[in-house]
Amino acid sequence: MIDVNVKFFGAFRRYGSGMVLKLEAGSSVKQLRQELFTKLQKNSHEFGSLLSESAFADEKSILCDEAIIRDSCTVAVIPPVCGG
Amino acid sequence: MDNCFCDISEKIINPAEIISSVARHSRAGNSHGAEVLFLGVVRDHNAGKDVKSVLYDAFIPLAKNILLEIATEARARFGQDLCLAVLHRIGELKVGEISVAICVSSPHRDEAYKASRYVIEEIKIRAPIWKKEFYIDGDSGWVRGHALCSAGGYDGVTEACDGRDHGGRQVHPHGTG
Repeated sequence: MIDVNVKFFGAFRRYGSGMVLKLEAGSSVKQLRQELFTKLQKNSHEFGSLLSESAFADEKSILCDEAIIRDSCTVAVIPPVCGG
Repeated sequence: MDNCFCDISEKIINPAEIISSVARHSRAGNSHGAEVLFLGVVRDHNAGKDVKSVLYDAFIPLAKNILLEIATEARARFGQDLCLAVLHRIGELKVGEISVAICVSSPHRDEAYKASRYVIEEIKIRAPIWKKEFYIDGDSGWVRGHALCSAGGYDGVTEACDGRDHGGRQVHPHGTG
């Protein structure tokens, strides 16, 4: 198992600054999304809707759901953006 | 300063400083005849509500990369000889304070105006930056933004991301490449 440190931003801040999820090495971002949904959807019925509109990213770029997570790492949940 | 300078910071944006930093680089060769400065300023109203202040949040390392990417694209589109500086402030800002500054210098004004417009429009839909508004009536809320992933009701079935195609790209440990 690996530790994935998921950082929360924007509207996700209502759920805290982030959380650490345990996944099998070689899991996909898609599976990470599912795990996050499982862990937090019970706290808020709005969470699923927000999660469905959010991407995942590392420090370099947005990640597709097919991206593979092989080692412990940090990713961010990216809700709809509105900078500028 | 290189031809592109981008930063995300809680530091108050000083327009004179950003103009100066771009001018120092562009005026050295005396080939640039235009400098365009865009400032995004916190408004006192939005969607029918009176705004007291805002809070900008950002995933800083990715946001810096995205700003640099956008500035690089602007140079590719409008001229490799352009000089650009892009600053976005985060943290708490009062009405009237500057949230974003984009300064472009170029040989002629046409490409400077176009590059400036391109940069701000791309920031709004690509940069991992979010704004929370605090209203005079005591209410507050995160401003609805642009999704970087396809929307749809999440019922436990994952929707495919419409971001970049990483083709099964591996996520690197500790977010480093």
